[in-house]
Amino acid sequence: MSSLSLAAVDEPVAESNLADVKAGVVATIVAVDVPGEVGERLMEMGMTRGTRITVVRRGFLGDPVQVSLRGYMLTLRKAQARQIRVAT
Amino acid sequence: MQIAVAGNPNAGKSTLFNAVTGARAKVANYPGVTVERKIAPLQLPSGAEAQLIDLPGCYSLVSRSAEEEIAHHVLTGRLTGERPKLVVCVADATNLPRALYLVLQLIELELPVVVALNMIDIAERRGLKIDHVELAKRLGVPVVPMSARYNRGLETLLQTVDAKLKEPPKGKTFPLGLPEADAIAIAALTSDLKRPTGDVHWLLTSNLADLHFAENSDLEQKVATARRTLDGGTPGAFNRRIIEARYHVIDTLIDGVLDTRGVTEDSRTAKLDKILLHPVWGFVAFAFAMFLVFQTIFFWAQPFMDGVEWLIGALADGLEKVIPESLTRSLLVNGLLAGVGSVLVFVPQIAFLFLLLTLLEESGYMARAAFLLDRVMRKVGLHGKAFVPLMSGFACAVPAIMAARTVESRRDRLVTIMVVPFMSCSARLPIYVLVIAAVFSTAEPIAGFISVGGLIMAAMYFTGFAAGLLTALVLKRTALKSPTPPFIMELPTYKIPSAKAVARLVFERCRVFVTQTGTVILALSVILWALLTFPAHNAETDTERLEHSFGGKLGHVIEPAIEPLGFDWRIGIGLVASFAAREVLVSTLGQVYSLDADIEPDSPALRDALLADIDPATGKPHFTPLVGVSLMVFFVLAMQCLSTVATVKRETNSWRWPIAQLIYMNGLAYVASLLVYQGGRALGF
Repeated sequence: MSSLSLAAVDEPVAESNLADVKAGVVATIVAVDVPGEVGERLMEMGMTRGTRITVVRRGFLGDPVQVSLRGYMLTLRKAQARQIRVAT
Repeated sequence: MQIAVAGNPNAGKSTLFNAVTGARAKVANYPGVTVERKIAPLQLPSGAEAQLIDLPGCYSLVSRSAEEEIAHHVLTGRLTGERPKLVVCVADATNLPRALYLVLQLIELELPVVVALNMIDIAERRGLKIDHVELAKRLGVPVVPMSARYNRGLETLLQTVDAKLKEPPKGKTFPLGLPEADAIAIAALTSDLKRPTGDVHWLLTSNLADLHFAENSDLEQKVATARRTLDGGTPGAFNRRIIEARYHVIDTLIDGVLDTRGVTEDSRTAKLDKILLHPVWGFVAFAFAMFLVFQTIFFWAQPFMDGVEWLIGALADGLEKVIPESLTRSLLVNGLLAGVGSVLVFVPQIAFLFLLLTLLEESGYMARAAFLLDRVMRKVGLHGKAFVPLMSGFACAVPAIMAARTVESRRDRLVTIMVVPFMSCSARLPIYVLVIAAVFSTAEPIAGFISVGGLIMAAMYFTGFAAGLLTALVLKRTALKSPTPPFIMELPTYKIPSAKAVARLVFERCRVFVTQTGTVILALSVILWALLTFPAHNAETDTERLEHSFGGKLGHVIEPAIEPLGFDWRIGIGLVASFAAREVLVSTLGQVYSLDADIEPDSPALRDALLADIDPATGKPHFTPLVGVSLMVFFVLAMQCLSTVATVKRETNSWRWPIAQLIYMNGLAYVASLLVYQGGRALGF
C-alpha cells in the first residue's frame, strides 16, 4: 500500500521525531506537538495521527525539511519537524 | 445569481475560471483588503445567467490568513450580502485527500457543491485510479472528472452545475464522527445561532481576534463559552479533534475509491528536484534564474522603453510644431504627454518581469526558490518567497512592488512593499554617475587598480540593501509585528505553464497598471508640472522660468533645511523636480546651470558647471566630494518616485502606506545625509 494507508498498530515501533528521521525512511505520525496555529496548519495539510510520512531531503545545513505524505510534497522547518513525534 | 469557484492553491482554479468564462473577467480588490477578486459573467447550458466569483486559493476555511477569511466571507454572504447559489470546488486529482479536506468544509457550510476533479489526465498518466462515481455517491455531491488545461469535461461540468441548481438545497451535512460531547455542544450552538453547521465550526475554530465581533458581543460570549467547554482547558484541543475527524472521514471516503497501487513516482519532478534543490547546484540554478530576471528588466525591456520614449518625443516634437508656444502647449507637452510617457515607459519592464515571474510561479519553481532561501530570509522575519520581489527592486521598484503579491501573509507583503524601494533601482544610477563623474573621476585608483568611483557605487548599492533589511527587521517587531511565517509550503509537481494563462496574466498586470496606477501617476505628473511652471510661465528662458516657479522658490525656501546636508538651492530645485523620477535631477541641474535639459549625467559641461560654482566663503567649488557623497546617500534612501507612490497606493489599497513610506524614507535620507555631511566635515573632509 502507499503512504495513504494507516499504519498497523501492532508493528514494533521506535519513537523519534521527524527531524531525526533519515531521508527515504517511511515513518508514521504519532502526534503533532507543534503548539498553536502552526500545529493546526500542519494537521490541516494532512499530518494527522497514523499518516505515513517520508523525509525526502533537507535544505542547506539541514533546514528546511522536505517531506512526502498523502501523495504530495510539503516543506517545513526543522524546528517544527522536531516537534512531530513519529514511529519508525 | 452567484457561483463561487473554490480550491487549493495550484489546483488549477484560475485555469478553470478562464476556460469557462473566456476573457471577460473583471479584476478588482476586495473592499478594504489587498486580496484580488475576479468576477465574470457565465451563461450555463440551460441559458441561466450567473456571476462566477473566483475565491482566493486556500487549504482550509478557518480564518488564519486574509485569503481564507475572504473565502469564508464570500461563501457565507458576509462580504456581498448574497450567498453563492453553488460552489464549484476545484480538486487536484493528483492530490485528492487534501482537496477533500476543503470539499468537506464546503459541504459543512450547507452549500450545494460540485467537485471539479481537475488534472485527471495527469493523475491517469501517473497511474492513479479514482472511482469518481463511487466518490460522488459517498460524498453526496456530483464529482466531474476533467482537465481545465485541455478543455476536457468543461461541458459536463456546466451541465452538472445546471442540474445541481435545479435540485432543492438539501442542507444536509456530512457526519464527522466527533465524540458525542462535541457533537452535542455543536448541535446546541447551531440551533441557538441558527447558522449552518460549517459556519458554527468556523466560529469555533478561527482565531477569535480575527472574527471582528465588535458589533455582536452576545455572539462572542456564546462562542467563547462553547469553545472553553470544547477545549476542556487545552486551547486548540477542539480544533485538532475536528481536523483529525475530517481526515478520518477522508480516509474512509477514499478507501477503495483512490487506487494508488499502480502509481509511479513523478520521475520528472524527482529528477529536477535533485538538481534544483541541491545545496550547491540549486543555488547555481537560482542565481541563473535571478540573472535572467535582471537581464529582462535591465536589458531586454530597454529597446521597448527606448521605443516608448522615442514615440513620446516624436509626439512632443509634432505638437510643438503644430501648436504655437503657449501655456496650453506646455501643459500638453510637458505636463500631460510627459506624464503619459512616464506611465507607458514602465510597461515593458512590468510585462517582462511578470512574464518571467509567472513562468517561475506556474512551473512550480518559485516554491523551490523559497525552499532554498528560507534560511536567509527568516533572519529578517520574512518568507523565502519575499526574496524575488526584493531582488527585482534593484531594477525598478514599480514592478517589484507588484511582484510582492507572491508573499501570502498580508503583513509580510506590506513589509516587502516598504523595503523594496530601498533597493538601488536603475533610476538612481544616473545620479551616481553624475556625482562620480563630477568629483571622483580624477581620483587615483586604490592600490593601483580599484576604482574609487566603482567602490563608491558599490557602497551605495550596499547602503540601500542594508537600510532595507534593517527596515524589515524593525517593522517586523513594531508596526507590522508578526511572527516569522511558518514555512509550511506545498512543493507542487513541475508543470509546463499554459501559454494562454501566462499571456492573460501578463496582460492583466499591464492593464491594471496603466488604467489604475497610471491615472494616479498622470495626475501627480500634472501637479508637478504646474509646480515647476507657474507663476513664471511667461519667462524668457527655461532657467528663468524654473527658478521663479513655485518649485524653484521651494528650492530656495528649503535651502536652510538642506544646507546642513551640504545642498544649496540649486540642488534644492533638483530635489523638488526629481520627485517625478530620480533621474530628472540630471536634466533639472542642466536647466539650473543654463545648459541643455537633454544633458548626459557624465557630461563634462555639467561637471564643469558644477565645479565652477565657487563657494565665496571657502573659495573652493561648492560641490565637494563630501557634498557628492551626501547627495548620493540622500538618493539611496529617499522616496523620490511618484510612480512608486502610486503603485504602493494601488497595491495596498490606501494612502496610508505610501504616505508613511514617504515620510519614513525621506526622514531617514535626511538624517543619514546630515550625519554624512556633518560627520565628514568634523573629520576634515
